Amino acid sequence: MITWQLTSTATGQALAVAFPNGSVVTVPGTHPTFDPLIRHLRTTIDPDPQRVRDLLNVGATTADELRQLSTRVTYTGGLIHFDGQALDNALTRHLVRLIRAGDRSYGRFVAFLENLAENPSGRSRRQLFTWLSERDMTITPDGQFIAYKGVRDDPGNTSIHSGRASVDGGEHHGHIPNRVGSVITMPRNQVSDDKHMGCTTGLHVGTWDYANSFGQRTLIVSVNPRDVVSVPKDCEFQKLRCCRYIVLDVIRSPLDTPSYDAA
Amino acid sequence: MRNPTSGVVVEGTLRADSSVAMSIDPQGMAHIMGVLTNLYSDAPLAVLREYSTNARDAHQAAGIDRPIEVSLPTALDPTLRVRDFGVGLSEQDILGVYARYGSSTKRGSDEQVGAFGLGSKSAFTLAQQFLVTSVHDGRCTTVLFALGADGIGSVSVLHRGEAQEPSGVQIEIGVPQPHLVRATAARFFGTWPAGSVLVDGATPVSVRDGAVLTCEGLVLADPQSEVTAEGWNLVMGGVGYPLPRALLLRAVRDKDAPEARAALGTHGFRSVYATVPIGAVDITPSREGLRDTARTVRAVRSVLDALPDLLATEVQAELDAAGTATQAAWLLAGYQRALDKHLLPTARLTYRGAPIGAPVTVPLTTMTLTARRGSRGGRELRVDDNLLVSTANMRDVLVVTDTPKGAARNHPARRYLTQNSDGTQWVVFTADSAATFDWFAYGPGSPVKTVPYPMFRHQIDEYSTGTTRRATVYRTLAPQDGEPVERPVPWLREQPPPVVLTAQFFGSQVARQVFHDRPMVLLTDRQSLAGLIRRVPGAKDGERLLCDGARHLLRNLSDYQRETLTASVIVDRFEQTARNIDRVFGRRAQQVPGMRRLLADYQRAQRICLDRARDRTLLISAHHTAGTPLPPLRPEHQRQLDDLLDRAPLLTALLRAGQLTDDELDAALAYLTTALPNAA
Repeated sequence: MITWQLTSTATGQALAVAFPNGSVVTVPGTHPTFDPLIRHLRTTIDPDPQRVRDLLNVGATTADELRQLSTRVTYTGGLIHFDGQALDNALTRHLVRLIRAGDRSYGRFVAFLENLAENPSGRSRRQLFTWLSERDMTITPDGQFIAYKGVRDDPGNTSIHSGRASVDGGEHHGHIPNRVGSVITMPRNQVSDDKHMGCTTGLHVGTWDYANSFGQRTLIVSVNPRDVVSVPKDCEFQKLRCCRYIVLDVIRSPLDTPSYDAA
Repeated sequence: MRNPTSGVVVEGTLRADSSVAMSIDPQGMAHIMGVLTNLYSDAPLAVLREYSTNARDAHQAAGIDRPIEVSLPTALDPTLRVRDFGVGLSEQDILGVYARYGSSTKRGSDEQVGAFGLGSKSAFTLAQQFLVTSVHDGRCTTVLFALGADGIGSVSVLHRGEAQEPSGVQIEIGVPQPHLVRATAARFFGTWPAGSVLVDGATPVSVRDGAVLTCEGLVLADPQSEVTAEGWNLVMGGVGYPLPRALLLRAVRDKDAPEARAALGTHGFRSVYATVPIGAVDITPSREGLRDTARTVRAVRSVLDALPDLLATEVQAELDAAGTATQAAWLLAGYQRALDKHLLPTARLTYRGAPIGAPVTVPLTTMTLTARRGSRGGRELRVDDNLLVSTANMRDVLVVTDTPKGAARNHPARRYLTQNSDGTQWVVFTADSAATFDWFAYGPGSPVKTVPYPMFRHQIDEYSTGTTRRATVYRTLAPQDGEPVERPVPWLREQPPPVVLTAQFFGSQVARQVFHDRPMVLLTDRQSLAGLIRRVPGAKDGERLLCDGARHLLRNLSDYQRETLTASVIVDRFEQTARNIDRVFGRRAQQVPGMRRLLADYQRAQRICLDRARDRTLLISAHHTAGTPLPPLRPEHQRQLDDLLDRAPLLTALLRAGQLTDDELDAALAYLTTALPNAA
């Protein structure tokens, strides 16, 4: 029979689980499935060893689920790999958020990884991780991530700065309109990939704090990780330059869920 | 490691009436345990260091060569595991070592690192529990150590049975923040001897990888490496301890100062790892740093004393192993760049007994660029008949061989010297393919950079677009052009004399307005004003002209422009206040006459600014270019604004108060109505 001991202090918790075969495991309170594990142990007279093992080995079980969606996923050494490359901390943290929230929408996470793999620049990918590492990410069903954009308070949600971009396929010069549903693009080779330059060419999106303080109205936009070009160093890495985004909605408060579905 | 407080000898005739040995109050045990557990300032480093050095000590004691194995925690599997393959511990040993503070089996020996009897409990600084699984004499024992309700740790033996695994000990700790342990591990295991540890099944990156120089007891590491620490580090038993700079400088002998002190701060020594024998220096009980004791200073001094000889011996061996004198000099040149001359006495170094590196005069046509006096970054080509080459500059020399008689040299050399990215500063032309001058030789087998003349010309052409040579072009903005265009010199000669502007002003609206009848040129880093004037006579430095033009523009403003400028100033000064008023009072602000008038003025100014954005930008840029401040507000505007700004604390307080009740809002409005009498 499974026995267990929970140790709680002001600074944290730890749980030791002893299995009938003599093996013992200890995990910290930050383990992704700590709460369901404790719930199962407390509420079950004779806990199911396989269920407990599955909860403890959540990395392997999650990787199994991801592998159902993409053969490019592998799991070794406690790390999930995509195309043989270990996931960045920011992406693993997002996965842990999904597990903790009981959100099994792994399809969009895999779609995100597949989109990310299409980004032609390793430098751009690393800069995106810098942007993501400071904040939690929200992903759309088609594997894009959510960012924010500050615009002017007018019917067209026009951009604060003027420039040249394509709006829904038509060329536009001046303050770029950002109507809900519009797809804004510009050629990738015209977007500056120099992270040391703060204000330069490119479609700019940012964090909630940045966008909300920058513009008179704040939009929620989705960006394909494939289209990310650079993350400028100024403004504490809050901005992001890309070559394409889709305007989803006008909002008044930031999203705090790992997944986003259009209303 | 031997305990530094052991071996105390007491001698004398003092007699006391009574004598009692000092001890720990049993009531204070939990407190003392807490102090001993939390004595680490870097908890992840402490845990890694204590358990992995214990594991290595176990291999040392058992005479085992295989590496210990460390499995780092991850977000999905947040457990740190450290496994050794020593003889293991019996149940009694586990309880003796891990359950008692101060208990250590290593004090009598300098072969092993541990001594304090504290490290084996350091897991409690990170976690509330840890597991010890030991295989000893074919028996497996698993013990859980956990913090108890009384603050004193509790020990539970969870499993005893036959072992299937090889003997040894495994420690498992559930780590709350795995990423911190992973980041620390990369640097910590960088100093471990090769083959002593496997981290996640692989050999960790070492400070020796990519090092400038590695020899017995010393590594001059690559400061850019992610596993190296800056400054000096002493490595004892595989564990690196940062050496404080004050301690390092105290160890410098007086006769060596100040040269040695200066040398210790040079760029080549940004990351040094010197190995000392176990027990040679004193460390703090937390084992996080070195103690500043006479013994530690002596140990550092012996490292410093041995350094020049050690380096000279190591470098000398490499020089002697080189195939030719030129190759040896090439190697020496690399070390000279990395090491200070005080620490690497090059005068003592030879190549197979012959002095090396003394300057040699090479009688070949040499070209280099020198700064031209008074020009804006322009440089001129200097041609010499000889090259004075030494180990200091031989890596910056390019020898162009097989140069035909009468072949162009000046222009290609200048082009190469301005555009190469390999650090070349001297281009030497010769008709031969190989030659030797004392120790300096070029040609096959020599490391000196050499290129045949045809290939050199091809490379010059590559700097231009395609493979054809390109005429000099300038980035030009003509009055009628919308975007800058690269124009050749002949085109510029046909236009009115161009002006040269920096990127800051090039193409700005002010420049377009002032220079509406002549082209503007933006020089690249490699172009000079002198070069432009030589090619296009009449070209001028445009920034002074632009400044004068901007002042002229501002002196002759039309009423339309004056109104635009006033509106711009009002918006700039009033914007934040207007927003605050709107956020606090909303539509009710219209009830206060003074405020109503101010808001009306602001909104009118805002409309003007939006409608005339382009003119507004021009006028503000003109002020910026001319270096003059924006004009003040008209007196009546200024007075109203000052009145309102005087109430700024009140507005701020109202803002902070958040949602006001109707009564509070009425009171605030009534106050402001009386506070702005002249506006009413």
